[in-house]
Amino acid sequence: MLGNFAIYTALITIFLALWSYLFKSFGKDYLLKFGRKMFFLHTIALSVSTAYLFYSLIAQKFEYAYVYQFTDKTLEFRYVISAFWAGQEGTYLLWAILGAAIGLLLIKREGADWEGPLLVFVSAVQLVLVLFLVIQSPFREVIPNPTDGLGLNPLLKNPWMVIHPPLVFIGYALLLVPMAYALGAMWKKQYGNWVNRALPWTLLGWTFLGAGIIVGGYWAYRVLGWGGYWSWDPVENASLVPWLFGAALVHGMLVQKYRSGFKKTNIGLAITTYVFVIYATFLTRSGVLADFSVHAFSRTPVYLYLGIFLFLLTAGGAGFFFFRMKNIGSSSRGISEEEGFLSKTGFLALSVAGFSISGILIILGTSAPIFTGWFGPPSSVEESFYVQTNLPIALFLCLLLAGSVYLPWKKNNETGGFLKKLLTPLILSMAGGLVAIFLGVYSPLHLLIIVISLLAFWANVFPIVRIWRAKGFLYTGGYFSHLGVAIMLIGFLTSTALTQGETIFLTRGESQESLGYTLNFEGKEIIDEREYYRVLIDDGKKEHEVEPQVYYAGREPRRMREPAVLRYWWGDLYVSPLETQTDERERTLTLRRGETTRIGDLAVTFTSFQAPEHSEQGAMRVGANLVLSFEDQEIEATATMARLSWGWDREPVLAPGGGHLYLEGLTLTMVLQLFILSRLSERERENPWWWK
Amino acid sequence: MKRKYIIGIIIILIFAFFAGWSFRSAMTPYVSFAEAKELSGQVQVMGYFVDEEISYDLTSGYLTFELKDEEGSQARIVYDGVPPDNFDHAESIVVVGKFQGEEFTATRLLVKCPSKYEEEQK
Repeated sequence: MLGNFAIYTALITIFLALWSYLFKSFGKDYLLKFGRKMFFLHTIALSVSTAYLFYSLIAQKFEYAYVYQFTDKTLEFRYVISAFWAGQEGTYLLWAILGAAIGLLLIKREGADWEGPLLVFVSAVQLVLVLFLVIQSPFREVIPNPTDGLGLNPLLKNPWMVIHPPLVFIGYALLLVPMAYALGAMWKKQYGNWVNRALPWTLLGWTFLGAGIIVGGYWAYRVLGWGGYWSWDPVENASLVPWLFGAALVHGMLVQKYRSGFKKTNIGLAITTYVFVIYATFLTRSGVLADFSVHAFSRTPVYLYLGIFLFLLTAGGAGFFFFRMKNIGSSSRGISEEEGFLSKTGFLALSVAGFSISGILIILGTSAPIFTGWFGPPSSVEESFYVQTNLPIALFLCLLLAGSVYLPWKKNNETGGFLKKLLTPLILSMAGGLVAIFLGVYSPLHLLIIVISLLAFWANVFPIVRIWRAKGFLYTGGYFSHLGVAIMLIGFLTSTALTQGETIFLTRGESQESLGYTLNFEGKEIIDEREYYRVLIDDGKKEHEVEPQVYYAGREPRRMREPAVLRYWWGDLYVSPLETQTDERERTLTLRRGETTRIGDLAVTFTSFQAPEHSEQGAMRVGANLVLSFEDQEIEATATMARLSWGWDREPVLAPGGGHLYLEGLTLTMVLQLFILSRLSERERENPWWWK
Repeated sequence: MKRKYIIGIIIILIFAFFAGWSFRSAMTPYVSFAEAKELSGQVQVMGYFVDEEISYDLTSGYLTFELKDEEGSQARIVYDGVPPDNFDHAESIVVVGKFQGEEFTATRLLVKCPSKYEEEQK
């Protein structure tokens, strides 16, 4: 009750705030105070619903749909935070509360003449977000009230998943500010100083989004077990594209700040960046790319409204921009003759172009299944497209960021000296290239990438030292971020080009050599339905014990592989379990009620039928209650099956001692067949059916 | 100054052609086995398992099986790698790759996740 009440209060107050700020902007100044009050109340209402959702998650109020879907009684306290943003409703609430906080900061800091237009746009977006919460409230009640929840997806039970979503959403929420400023600038027809005011907000939002993307990649590397951090999947691209346009915007804003050029470009970029924030949200939540992504998408009724919002935002932003284009044009300019392209200004302009082209290419690739579907069979593009087209752009940007450090703002007699200043970094990078050859890198392309990224690195190291001494630490931000980009590029290259991999087959008790390590499979343990494979790794100096894991997660259980990573300063050893094999083939057994059958050391007793349940889409789920005993352990469990539209859905029983038992069928004569897919135990090895 | 712009335009055009070429070669359309034999590039074919004659050699890492597409034509699939999740429970599968002679060499296997079918019904 309290939760929904707070959401409705937030809706009414933000509507009133939007209304008063709108009329305030048309000259009705007396409405300002009322608007502020309403926005303040809106923030309080959102805080109440946020606090109440947290409380409900902690207090395990399973009567609320959101709590029911994403938690259960066993959930550890620290992952209650991940549960908050495990679903769409929670992320909209998070986004809304962050937006409200940013709105309050804007009221406090940005002065009365900007407050009107800024808050109109901020309130409009808040209104949309709260509408989503009204349409699909996290506080919907489940009737009858369940006593336990479905539980949090184990993939999200990870510390990185606690911080990844808020970082991305702080980024998304902050990137609204430059668009609000750009639209406000067009409204007020003041195209000059908005950039100086919006730049800090843009930098902050862009940095948060970047940090969120990196944390997401790191999470994928540590948890998903496929050995990489970036797979050019639609979901990943969707967050990268606004970041790239944000990068273009930041660099364009610098041109306007220092040289007062690029007024049109910046307004266009500020709108584009936010449009892609919403487009990204739409792609990941509408299910349009469900067939082309490995990520699980779920479509909720909100997606239609999200689509409408995206359309209005794009059409409105573009329409307003073209309407004002001539007006901006009269005060705007590009690169002047006296600056030329060989100047800081020119290089910044080229970087804006580079970032934008990269963003456009990625969005084209990601949306390929949608627009190729209009002409023929829908096609997705392979990773090679993204790598081939973005690599030259990245190298080009790297050269720009190395050179720009030593260039003056406009062409003058210093320009000629710029190559001379680049000489020391160039020599150091060449030396690095030689070291790479010595270490065994022979590919000319790899060497080129190494030298160029080292050039970007060294070119930025010297100015950091010089400027830190001369002006202070606070002036080194740009150089530090460029240094980071250079280091990151070196990391991308070494991790993709120099990775060695091998698939090996470990038998328990027999050690095996691979890639210079000695691996020894010591055995398996099952804790909390997770299979831990204990592997002893000898790297020649020290022995390490690692435990990669296999477990089943999701409502139709899918196998998850959690890798173990051994870290060294020159690289990681990444151990990911792929398959387990056992000696004997799988067997199909027929069990009679009350009878006990032995499968190796496992005794299975079929005790009774489970009453049929009508649950998912009217499908009937049948089940057999079993008692399984292995050595001194005895458990009771139920194997079930249901006929769904895509085939049979079988929920297996995990046997003590390893292996899964699948219910194959129930016959009229009350005979139960058990299908053992891959029973794994320390003593016996079985083969699955495709092993002949 | 004019010369610089012409150089710039030429560079952009070359890059645009390059990007277009890269896009075309990276495109993997959904086709049938018959069409896949005609095409030289990478394709995706959706098919159903014909029988349970699936052999897997873990030490050399080759997986071979027969697949029948929606038009009914059949092909032998060779895949160099380990079976993906849910492979042993799948009824249909998407293979990404191309024909090399009579055999279809797959570079990726995509098991359709059941949950996605559920979504479509809503």
